[in-house]
Amino acid sequence: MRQPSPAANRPPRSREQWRSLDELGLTADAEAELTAEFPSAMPLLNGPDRRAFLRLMAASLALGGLGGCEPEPAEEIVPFVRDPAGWVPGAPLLYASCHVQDGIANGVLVRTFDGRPVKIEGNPSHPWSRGATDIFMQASVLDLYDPDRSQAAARLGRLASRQALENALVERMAGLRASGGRGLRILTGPTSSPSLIAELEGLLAALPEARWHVHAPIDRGQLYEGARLAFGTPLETRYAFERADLVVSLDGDFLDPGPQQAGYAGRWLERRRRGEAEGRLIELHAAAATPSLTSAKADHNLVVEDRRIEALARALLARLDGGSGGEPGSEVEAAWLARAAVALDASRGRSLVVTGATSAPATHALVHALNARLGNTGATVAHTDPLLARAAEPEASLVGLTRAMAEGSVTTLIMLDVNPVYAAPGELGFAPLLDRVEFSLHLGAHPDETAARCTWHAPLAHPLESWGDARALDGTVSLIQPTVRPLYGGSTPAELVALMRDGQSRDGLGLLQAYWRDRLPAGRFEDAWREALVSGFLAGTALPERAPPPARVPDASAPPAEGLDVVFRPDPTVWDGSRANNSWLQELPKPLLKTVWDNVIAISPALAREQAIATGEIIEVVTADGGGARGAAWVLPGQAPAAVTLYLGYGRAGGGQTAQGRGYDAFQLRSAESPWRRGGASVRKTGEVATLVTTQELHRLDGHDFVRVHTVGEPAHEEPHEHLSLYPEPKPWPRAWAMAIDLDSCIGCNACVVACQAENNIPTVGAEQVGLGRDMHWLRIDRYYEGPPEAPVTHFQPVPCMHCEQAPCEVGCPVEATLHDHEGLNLQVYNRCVGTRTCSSYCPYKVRRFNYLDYTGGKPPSIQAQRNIEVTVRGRGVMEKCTYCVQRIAHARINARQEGREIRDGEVETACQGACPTRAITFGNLSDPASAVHEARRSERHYTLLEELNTRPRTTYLAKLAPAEPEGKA
Amino acid sequence: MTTPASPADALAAREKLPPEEFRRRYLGGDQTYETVTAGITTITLDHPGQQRWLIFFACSLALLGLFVVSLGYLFLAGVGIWGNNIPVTWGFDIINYVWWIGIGNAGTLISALLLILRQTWRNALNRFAETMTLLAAVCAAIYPLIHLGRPWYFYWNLPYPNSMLLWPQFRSPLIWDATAILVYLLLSLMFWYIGLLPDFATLRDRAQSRRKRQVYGILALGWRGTALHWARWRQAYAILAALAVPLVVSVHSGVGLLFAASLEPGWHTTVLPPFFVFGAVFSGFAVVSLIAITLRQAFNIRELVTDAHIDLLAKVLLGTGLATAYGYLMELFIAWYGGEPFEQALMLDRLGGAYAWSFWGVILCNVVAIQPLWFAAVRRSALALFLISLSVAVGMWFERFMIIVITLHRDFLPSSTHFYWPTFWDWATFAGSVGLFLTFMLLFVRYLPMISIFEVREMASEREAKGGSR
Repeated sequence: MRQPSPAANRPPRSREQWRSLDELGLTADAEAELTAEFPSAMPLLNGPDRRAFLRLMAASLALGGLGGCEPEPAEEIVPFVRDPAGWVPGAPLLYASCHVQDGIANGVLVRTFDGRPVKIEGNPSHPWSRGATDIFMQASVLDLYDPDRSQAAARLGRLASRQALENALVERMAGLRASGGRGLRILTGPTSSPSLIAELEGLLAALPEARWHVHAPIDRGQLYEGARLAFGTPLETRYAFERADLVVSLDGDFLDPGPQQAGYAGRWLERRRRGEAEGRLIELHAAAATPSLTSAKADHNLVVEDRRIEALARALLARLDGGSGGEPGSEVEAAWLARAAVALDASRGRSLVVTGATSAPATHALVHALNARLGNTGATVAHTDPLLARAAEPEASLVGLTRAMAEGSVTTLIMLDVNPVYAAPGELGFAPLLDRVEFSLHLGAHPDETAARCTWHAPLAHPLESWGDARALDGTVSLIQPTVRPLYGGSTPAELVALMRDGQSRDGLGLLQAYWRDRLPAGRFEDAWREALVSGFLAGTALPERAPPPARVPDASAPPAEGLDVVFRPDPTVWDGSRANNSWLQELPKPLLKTVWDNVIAISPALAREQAIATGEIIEVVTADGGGARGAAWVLPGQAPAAVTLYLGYGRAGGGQTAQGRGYDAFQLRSAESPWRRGGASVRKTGEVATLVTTQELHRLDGHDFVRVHTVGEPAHEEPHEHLSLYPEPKPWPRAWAMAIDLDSCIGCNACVVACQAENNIPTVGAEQVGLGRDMHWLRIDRYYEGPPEAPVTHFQPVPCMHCEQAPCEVGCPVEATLHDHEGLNLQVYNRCVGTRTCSSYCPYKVRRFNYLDYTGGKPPSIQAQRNIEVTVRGRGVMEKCTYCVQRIAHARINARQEGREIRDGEVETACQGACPTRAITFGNLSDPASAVHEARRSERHYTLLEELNTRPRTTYLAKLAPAEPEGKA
Repeated sequence: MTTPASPADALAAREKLPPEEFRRRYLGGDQTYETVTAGITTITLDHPGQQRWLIFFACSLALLGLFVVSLGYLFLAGVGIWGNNIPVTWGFDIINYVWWIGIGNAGTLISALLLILRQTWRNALNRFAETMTLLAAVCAAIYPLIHLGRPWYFYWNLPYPNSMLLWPQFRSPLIWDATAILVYLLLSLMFWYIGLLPDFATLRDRAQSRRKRQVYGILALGWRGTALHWARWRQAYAILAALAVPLVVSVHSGVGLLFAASLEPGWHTTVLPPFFVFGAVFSGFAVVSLIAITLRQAFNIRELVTDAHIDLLAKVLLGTGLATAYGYLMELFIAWYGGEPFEQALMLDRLGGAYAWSFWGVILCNVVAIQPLWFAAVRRSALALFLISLSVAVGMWFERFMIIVITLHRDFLPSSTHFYWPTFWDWATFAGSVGLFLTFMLLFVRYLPMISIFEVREMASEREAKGGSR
């Protein structure tokens, strides 16, 4: 058969009608030329026939696939002929590493299965964090598998090869070297990493005209500034809660999310529990304008305007000096002040006055003065050099950088793991300035707002796939070691800086070892290094204490402008927005608000009444200079009347699907000079209503004693009920798993909730499904208020499955999908469940969760890779709930049987228990009289939730402690 | 004629009426053996009012289509397309299930219980009441199946030998319920079909076309009306009736126990099973009245379904309604008297909570609306009874909503509270199930004798035999 000629194959072209510009432009001349040049391609141009089309497609696919490849690193692959020692397929392996937040490290252990990190545990041997974790550590494993992560370098938003990026950077650096680095600016996030600092200092030494700036959305600048006010030099402040008999917190944040939480919360509660054993209460007095976890936990909480905090500190100082207490405040304020002053006076040298990272420098300085006056400095308060590089230098701040950018003296800007386009204070106008920079490079985890405006973007390696180091709050150097090969070939800041330095691409391990080789004991580097990797930190590297000069009392600051005080706070779950693409954190109820997937504007009940604003209405906060933020109002009990709290971290325009398009951007309203507060604001109703999603709609105890309060030293207020039953008592259990949750130790931090989610493959369902009441958390933290909304007492109560011995759910199930095992666990057999939901209807605690839709199917492969292989992934139509981490119990049971022994007390640690920074959860065998959980059950604080229902729960509670005198209710 | 020969005579005697007068009340005066047969078979064989029927049938078929679409989407996506959540794990699915099964209660009660009690006035009502029961029970039985998270495993709820060596969990009220419904459904079907046999034979004999003769002939199972046939038939019918009566109680007690076996406030009470039975009879009679009045109007059979029937239905409605109202009252009283705080909170929630409209809807539709039935004039008015019955049907739906949603949305821990609102698919499924009911009801009206021909004929012939003439 003869192929028809190209011309015959084509429909006759009319000059009036054309289908595309190409067609119109393809003149006979051009066609002839093309035929001469590409004789074999011409038939394709004329509309390929079927065979040619298939050929073309096959070739395109094959070439397209090839083109997408990056060359794999040349490494030998050797099959395991013999298994490496200690490696059992399918068994978990733990690696010590650390989690860095805002430049500060906490020790972690990374649990990996067959080379996949799946769960973060605390590192018990870490000298600072001591096995405690927080939500950010727990959730960081999901960031590794984030499908929205930046996966390749990009030039002006288009994919580029890594080689092209390196070439461009090296070339640029070569040009800069001639001028001594003039015009080069490096902007990093806050860092305490000794090796990175050394790397950067080395670069700056080689390029004397270059400058290094640091931008931290949640910074320690106020802290250092306060120390400068008091001591003349910026210092780090470290509190020794373990030695404090009394804590007074002036807008303190030691229990709040942040890098300090894991270390401080545990130490304070340990002291408090020791105090209970001594028969007294280690009281916490707190004053705050906007409620926080710290103020929620206070025994004496004062709701006070933000502008009054400094005056409060001054009044306290005056009272301790024997004065009358400074300017007069309200009656409630005076009462709080008097009580705190008396208590402080009674425990000089053994007390602690604390404040938080968001407090004004003057407050910090006054707190230093207070601690010095009380003799606490050196006893319960220690000072060291600042942990974070350049955080205390004004010229190295973002303000310095923008000034230089405005002057046009910045030609090259390298941004390492920062997102200033989003997180810079709005008044700096960073984004347009960035556009004027000739060469800008952004190293970041996501293609975020800054990446979109840079000439170059490079993917950042996740800490779980890279080498590095950082200091913990006490200065202990903690090592970051990879547990998996980089999924997308990102680099670390240190690697990029090394490349800039001499154009040589080096790996992170080499850089890290090169730095530490000189600093570890000579001769035995290999041993010391191995030891450090095993433990996760370099022992003995805590920063030495420095005796500060006498604290100066700062002059009174100018009072803020009249009007409402805008107070900025990091979002309790997505933090400064850098965690906003983590769906675990997005769906984690904010501890006090219980909202998810959104940020709100917190206003006081008084303001709400005055301006007739209801929760959920969209309001606009307008500052004196005309800036405004629009967001949904949330009437927050315990908020000071004139305080309006804006939460950072939302209103993202980039950075992944999960992060984008939620809430409002509070950074726009922030000022560089006073990042945490602005006076003279007002709020305006817009008449619109937002759909806010909350996981808890009612917050009042209504006279019930779900959360019980116990005064130290008093006997148990209730005798245990007699268990009446028509049925014969069951035989005693040889092993009876039980859990006791100490409500006094629970600070409501949510670490357990995220840990449970990570351990048990609990899916996130999105804002809409949560709004429909279908959140899947197996463990929830109920938050109740007691007392007037203006100054309520706040209670937290974690509620997992109660594992009732007489479980109502088991009666209802028609197919026996929920039943008891021989150790008293209330099991849920997923593959037997048909989904009648009767068990949940019958459950008085409503702890069961149902897969109303297919929440786990169709997830990206990377998300599937995160899943814990020991836990079934549940499909649509199946009920699920807390199992007491039955997979961990099974592990222990098998190990014990293999070794021919009983399971040791404490051998089984549930995920929630392991995550808790304050060790509030005790778990073990109730039948063993020596077990910790048995011990907890004997406490006079012990009680059972809804005991009158006679369900005989295995999960029980220890009542909250309260001061002997009546609560300081306002 | 010294002793009353038939039960009807006995009844007439009790009501101090001459037997003829009594009969006239429940069978129009002009009706004879022949007219009864002709009147009813004409409807089945000649289809009067064809056009009207077609319009109604098209509407019902559209709703049935909606049902099919709803179920298709449900099976594809999961029960999450409804508004159910945690804690309100049961929403429209169980509300409508209980509502339908309640309606499905009356037919068997009318047929079986009144047959045993020899209440001949039932003869004009029992056929369509039974059909209604059967269809309502089918509508009800669909819900427990489709409400499952994994409906393809529905049979795990049934005791059957299997390779997993697993039985259902017999302590579960769901098992009792599933068993009760299944038995009830099968028995109702048998009772209904056996009752139809003589009428099928009549239709077979009177049908003009060959195909109709064949179809009705097959359905009549060779019925020839011999004395032996009748004797056997009477035995079978009486036995089934005796079996059916306890089932009327067990089905709805089972539904009551579905709630009572839990610990939830408002559910955990022993009054629930009888209370549910009364409510069921109440709603069932309301729907029987609706159907009776509609058919009477549509097919002009006032002489078969007489004003006296309407009056009786109204009386039963009033009686069961008062019993149900007593239940409402007792629930409130016991909550107050028992002093249990969660129970009290629940009752306050019913009276003034977010779903208080359902409680006040119940009071208005089920208690207040039936009070006019104390007056004979209202009872005899078909229109009034129609409206009141409609109100009761709606009211009983409110009651199911109230019982299920108010308890679940806020039980013990206030932290778990979550509100429930049905979605489009909830409504679509509900409307669809109504479509299913109506479609088959219309088919029944069209192709089967809607009134028991032979039983009414018997009344007419008895009258002729006794009185000779009017």
